[in-house]
Amino acid sequence: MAVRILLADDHPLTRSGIAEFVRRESTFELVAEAEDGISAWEMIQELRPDVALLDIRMPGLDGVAVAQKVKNEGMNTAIVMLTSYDAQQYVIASLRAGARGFVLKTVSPKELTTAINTVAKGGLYLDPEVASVMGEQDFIPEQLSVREREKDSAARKSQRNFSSVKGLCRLILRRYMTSWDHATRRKHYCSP
Amino acid sequence: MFKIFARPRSHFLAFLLCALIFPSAAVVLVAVAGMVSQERAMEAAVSSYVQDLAESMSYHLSGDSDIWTFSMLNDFTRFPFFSWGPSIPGWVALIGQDGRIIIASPGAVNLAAIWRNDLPVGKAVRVEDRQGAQYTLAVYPVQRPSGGYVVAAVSWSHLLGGLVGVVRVWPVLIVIIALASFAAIRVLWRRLVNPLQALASDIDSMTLGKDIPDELAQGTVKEIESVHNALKRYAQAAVERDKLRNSYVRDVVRAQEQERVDMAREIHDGPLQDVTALLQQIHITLEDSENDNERIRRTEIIAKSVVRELRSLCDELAPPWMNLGLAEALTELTERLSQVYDIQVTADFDDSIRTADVKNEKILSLLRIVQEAVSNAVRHGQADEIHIHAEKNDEGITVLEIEDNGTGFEAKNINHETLRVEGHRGLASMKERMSLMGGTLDISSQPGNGTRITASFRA
Repeated sequence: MAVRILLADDHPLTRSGIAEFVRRESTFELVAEAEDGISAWEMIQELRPDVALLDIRMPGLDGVAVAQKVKNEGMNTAIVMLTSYDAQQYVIASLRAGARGFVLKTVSPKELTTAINTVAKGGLYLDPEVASVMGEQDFIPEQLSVREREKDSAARKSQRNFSSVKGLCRLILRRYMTSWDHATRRKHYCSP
Repeated sequence: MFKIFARPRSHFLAFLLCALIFPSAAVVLVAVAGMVSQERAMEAAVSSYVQDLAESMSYHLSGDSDIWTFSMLNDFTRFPFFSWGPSIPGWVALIGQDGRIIIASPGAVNLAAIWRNDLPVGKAVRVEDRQGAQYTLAVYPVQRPSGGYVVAAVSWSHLLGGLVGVVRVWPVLIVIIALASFAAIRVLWRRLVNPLQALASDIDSMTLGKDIPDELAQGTVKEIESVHNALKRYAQAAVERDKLRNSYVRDVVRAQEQERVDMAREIHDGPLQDVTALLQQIHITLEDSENDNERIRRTEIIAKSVVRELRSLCDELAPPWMNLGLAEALTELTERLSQVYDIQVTADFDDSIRTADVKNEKILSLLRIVQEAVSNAVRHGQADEIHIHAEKNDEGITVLEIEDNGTGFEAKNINHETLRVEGHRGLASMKERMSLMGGTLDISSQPGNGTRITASFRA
């Protein structure tokens, strides 16, 4: 069964580029394109897509706010942030708002496909370019999980939320471990 | 005296004392000297006068006869001396061998009071009666068989009149003058020196950009009052000018920041999106082309690098992530700064900061301050650990501290204008930004002890 996708981006050129990426994949179905946050939210409510690709900066309602609304409503639509911003605080804000993917607009079609498939299956996906920065942080998983648990609304299924946080933890831990391993090994080689 | 002029502040009182006492003392001294020399001259004149008088009288009265003839006595009374009466300050008397007054000019009534048997003959002497009145008198013998003396005298109290009394009250006068001087100094001190000192401290406070207070010490002299009023007007004008300049600087800074924010948005929404779209097309072309197209691969790399450059340009102009809130923006910045300088920059915040609603404009200012502080700590202080802490205190004031482990410096708490004048442009602009936000910025540092910068403001 095809993954039903909604795309929201106020910039027509990049929107058409991403739309083309999605259309090329036979297992994806692009159900709607929105050019601002408000219409994106309306379409999500109406069409209930499996995955929503949201730009962060949009007129009316930004992507993070739309993700928060989806989270608050307890909808099953998985959110992937699709943005030009590479700041980790955006990643954290997006994840807090319930997004399960964070992808830069410069993403390759293959990566986007992976991202969509991952989140559609309930996983978590971070753009490698962003994850490489995130990987160096050791405090984010705990901080995030505590906050997530605190802020969890009754409407949300704690199981899924936990799994997404666990997913992020695992991903970041892997990144962190790699870099840590790398660092210690380097240290080891350097020491007499 | 020179010392007094060299240190006018501490010795103003001494200066005043001298200025008042010296002239009065000089007047007194000159007067006393004049009086003394005058008295001496008069004494000499009076002495010779009484001597001459007595001698000439005795000469006239000398003769062989032992009997005082009427004509002789007539002669005696014919002296103009006697006819002048009491206007002459002296008198003449003829005394018989037995001490009886034979004849005397008017005024010689108290001869008995001053007469002494040991008076020298032929020489003027100064004597005093029982009441203390002074006389100069001369005794000459009359060359007659029956003997007798001519006594001529001048009364000092008659001669000098009230002046004699004045001489006695000199000490009293001096004391009165001294007291008057002290009183004058006191008045001067209260009405001139005190207001002047108050004025000086007012002018001092004026340099801090404050208005001059209205109060003026009671009884201040008019001249100082008008100086005070003129200064007050000047201070008010300066304060106005200060306000105007501050608002001008604020407008300039605000316009500058707004322009940067606008530019960042333009770049983000325009070229950055366009190049991103271009990159997406390259991706598609690459996927579609069956052969590995080297040229297009290279184009992809260039497009990616343009995207990165445009992104960092946006961040430099006005980081879009400042919209996320103070804590998030500061966290993002510290992480970026850690990477840029390859040092440890950490941040921790109170929950009050995470929920604080701080305007983007203020967040941007704080980001710039942190950037400047970290750059200073690394460049000048060789710091490799910097910690940023923010919290809201009980008074609702947000306090942001930036602490480093650098070499530190001799921190002087001076205002941003002075800092700018002394060439510390970075510190000056940090202070300026805080003051434009209505906050303050304190720098505490000591050589060897690192630096702590505290920015306080109301969110």
